[in-house]
Amino acid sequence: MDSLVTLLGRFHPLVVHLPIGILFLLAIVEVFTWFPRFPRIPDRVRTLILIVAAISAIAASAFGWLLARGGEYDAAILDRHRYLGIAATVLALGMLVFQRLRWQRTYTVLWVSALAVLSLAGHYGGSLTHGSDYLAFHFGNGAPTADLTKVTVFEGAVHPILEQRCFACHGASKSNGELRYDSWEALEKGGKNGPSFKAGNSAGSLMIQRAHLPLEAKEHMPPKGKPQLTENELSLLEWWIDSGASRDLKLANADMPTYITEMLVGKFPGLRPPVPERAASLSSAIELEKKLGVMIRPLAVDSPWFSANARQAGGSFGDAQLESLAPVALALTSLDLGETDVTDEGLKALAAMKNLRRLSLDRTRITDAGLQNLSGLKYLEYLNVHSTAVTDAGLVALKPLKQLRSLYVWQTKVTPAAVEGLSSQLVDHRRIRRLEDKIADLENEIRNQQFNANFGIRTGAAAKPSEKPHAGETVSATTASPPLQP
Amino acid sequence: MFCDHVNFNLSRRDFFGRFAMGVGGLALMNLLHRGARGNPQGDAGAGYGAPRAPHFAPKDKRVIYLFMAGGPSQHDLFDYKPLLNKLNGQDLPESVRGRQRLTGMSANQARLPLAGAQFKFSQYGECRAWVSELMPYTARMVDDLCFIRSMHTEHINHDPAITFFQTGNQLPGRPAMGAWLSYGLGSANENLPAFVVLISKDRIDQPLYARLWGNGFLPSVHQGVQFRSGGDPVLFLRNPDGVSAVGRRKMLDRLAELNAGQFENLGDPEITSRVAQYEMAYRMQTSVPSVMDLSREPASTYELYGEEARQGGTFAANCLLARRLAERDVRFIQLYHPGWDQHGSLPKMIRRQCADVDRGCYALITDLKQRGLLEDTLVVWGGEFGRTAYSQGKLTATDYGRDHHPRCFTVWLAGAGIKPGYTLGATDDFGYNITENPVGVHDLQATMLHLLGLDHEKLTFKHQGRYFRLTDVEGNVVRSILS
Repeated sequence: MDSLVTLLGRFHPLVVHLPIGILFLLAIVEVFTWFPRFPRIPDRVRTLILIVAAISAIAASAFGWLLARGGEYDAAILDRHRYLGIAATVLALGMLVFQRLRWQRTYTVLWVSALAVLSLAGHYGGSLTHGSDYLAFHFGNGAPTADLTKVTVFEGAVHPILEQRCFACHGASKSNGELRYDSWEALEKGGKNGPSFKAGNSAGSLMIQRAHLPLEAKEHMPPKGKPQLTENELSLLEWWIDSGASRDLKLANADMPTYITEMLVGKFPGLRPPVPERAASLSSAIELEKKLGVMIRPLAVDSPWFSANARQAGGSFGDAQLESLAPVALALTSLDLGETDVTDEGLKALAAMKNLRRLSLDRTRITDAGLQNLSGLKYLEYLNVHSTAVTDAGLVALKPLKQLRSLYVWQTKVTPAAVEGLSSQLVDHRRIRRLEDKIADLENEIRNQQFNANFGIRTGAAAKPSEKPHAGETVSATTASPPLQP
Repeated sequence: MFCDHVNFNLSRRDFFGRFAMGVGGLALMNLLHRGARGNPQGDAGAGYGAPRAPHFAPKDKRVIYLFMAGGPSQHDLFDYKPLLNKLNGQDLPESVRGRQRLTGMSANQARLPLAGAQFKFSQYGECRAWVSELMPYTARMVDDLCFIRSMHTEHINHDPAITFFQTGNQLPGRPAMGAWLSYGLGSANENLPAFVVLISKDRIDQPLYARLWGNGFLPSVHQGVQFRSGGDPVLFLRNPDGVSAVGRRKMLDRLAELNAGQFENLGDPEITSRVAQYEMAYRMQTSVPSVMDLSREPASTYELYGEEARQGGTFAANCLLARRLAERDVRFIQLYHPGWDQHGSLPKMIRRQCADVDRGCYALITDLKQRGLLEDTLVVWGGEFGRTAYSQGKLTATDYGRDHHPRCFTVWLAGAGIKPGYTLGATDDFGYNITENPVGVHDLQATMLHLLGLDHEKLTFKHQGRYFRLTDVEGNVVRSILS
């Protein structure tokens, strides 16, 4: 029975275009009849057209109702579509009735409103199947550029996920398990099994635990058969809970790891720093090369990003010269100050170089105090401070640098224990584990693509070389790329 | 000859405007001129000082190529074949050799007896790579290395094979890989050549001609410069006795004026090239002694590289110099260590040979690593071909020789963009043929260029009416070794 309902429901997108087409064509013809030279439509023809339109509209509404029972749609848009669709059907019936009664004025009002209602219903229908940003997508940046200082992480990132994946059963229309996610208070309160999340502890949060259960488990959420949380969505929820599950934290102030930024940047382009203009950086770079005698070059032919290398300038490059790099500060992703004369004081200029990924300060006079200036360089991946006076105390300033992956502390007073402490802050082991799972899945998939023919152990004189157990007994034909080797 | 390069993007007036600023201006003009048209893709930032930039963001900024001239025996170093020990002394089966052509040196042998390595192999590191007892230091760093066991080449004799490796063609006359890089990327240090060559002393068995680091048809500023170990590191760089630095400067200024006049008449870019080289040589008069001066290296350096590194011209000393050149952003540092051509007395000779290079390689990688340089340096180790599984000459209980073998051999790479602790490719149980993932010389070259941000198909130079590439019409980037 259920499958029949589903099948009929799927006829909705097909049938729905019949009344739309008929009513629009009728409207066009009606407009033309206002011109004296255009023949009038015989009443019986019009009646026939309206009967077909009304029947198909009723059928479309009925199929639509069945399709909606599947419930895999955005509830708010679905409601609008549903009632507008029914309204259009009622209007079509009205047109039939008043046309028969020859209430010409009323008939005209009705078909004009039917067109309006159909257009709107059609728009929401499209939003349901293609997503609500389908139309707007090609205008501007998809979503209006939101003010990141006003939108909270909860509104901008978390709520949309809950709305899409959870509201159908935990919202206004249904509240299974006495759980509702459609208001902050209700979300915070939780359901009959207790609160859904524990701020700062995603692993101990019920909603995350449920999502991680195997799909077959009865407690798995969203239930089997409903659209599931994507891996990105789950990561985002986990990150939000772990970072305190704040209701008020604004997107602009959130300290996101880059993989979270990458997930949100489509919706909030402002999260990624603006790309500096290449031409402007290039002309500044030429000026500075001439003035300072250091190389400032684009990373690649078309790249807006630059690297600067002051090492060759050596002792003649000091704090003043570093400060004069200000015009290209935002364009620099790589800066080599090794063996130069910069000091702690001069490193203040680095705070403006927010896009730096690589920084070398080896064999300079810098100390722990200088490293304080690096704490805003959130993209920094590589830091070289070998042969400097840096100590364990200086590493504390590096804790906010979530992207830091390589640290060179040869010939410094930094101890392995301090580095261990720092790395435990920077490395996201859970994410590593998840990626490893993904690799395992892919390896499995590759294995499933391979073909093996086993000839057993070959006998006879020709087999001499294959006395060794692994020599030439199996033939493998690989249709995919070879398996990843560890 | 370079008629397609006479179209300058700078006007003559512009040129003399710069020239009026001094001789430095002339050198700058040269860079600008090269930059304006020398950019690998044609334009992009015309007018910029030297916009020779990579095609895409590179993983590595420089290369250190440890070339083992003569062809090291993979059977005795990295490609462990226990079957050869088992069948030691038996004939190489005809089916394994196929119809392969042999060199004149072993083609006349009555039989081709298989020769098992006389050295103990073990597995090392997390990657469990096989390394023989000859390379104890290399064995310690296998988790940083990527072995390609399936290298193959087209050439069976030294000179064509080595020329092929260095220039992409077996015939002399093409630019060397370092010259291509200098042409494609420009120099990262205006005081040193972009391409420096260091050769180990006392081990010459096969000649290494200077054309191996020549510029071929590229402008001559791109040629490699050999730094010698004894006497003057660079020949004819020192001012002759009785010529003062001031006098030399004046002479160069006057010469540059004359050259500028000549350039105005002829417009031959080789003239500006020449002036740039004079200026480079002038700067090298101070930069070369400073890079070659090891007196300020601390004792810890020699604990790492070994006392041998104190003697100029040893492989260890050249590795140390390579590190110092890398620190100064020289793009292509080419080391040659000859002496691997062991047709006879291999067990004895290879032991000496490995003792020469093993610790130096380890020290170099370790040193680059601790200085943070291995994150933008590519190191390549390997020869021009491998050696045969069978013995050339008489096989005895303690002695054998091996002939040239182009069908398979082992090289290793390390550095940014390379999968560490990884082995690509495999050979059959005789170590005679490749069984999976063959890598040709052009493939290796394409991969090296790729790591430096260059598309080997786009890095071209027009000469005698056609566009030339380092990889000619071949080469695929070996993506499976990239990280």
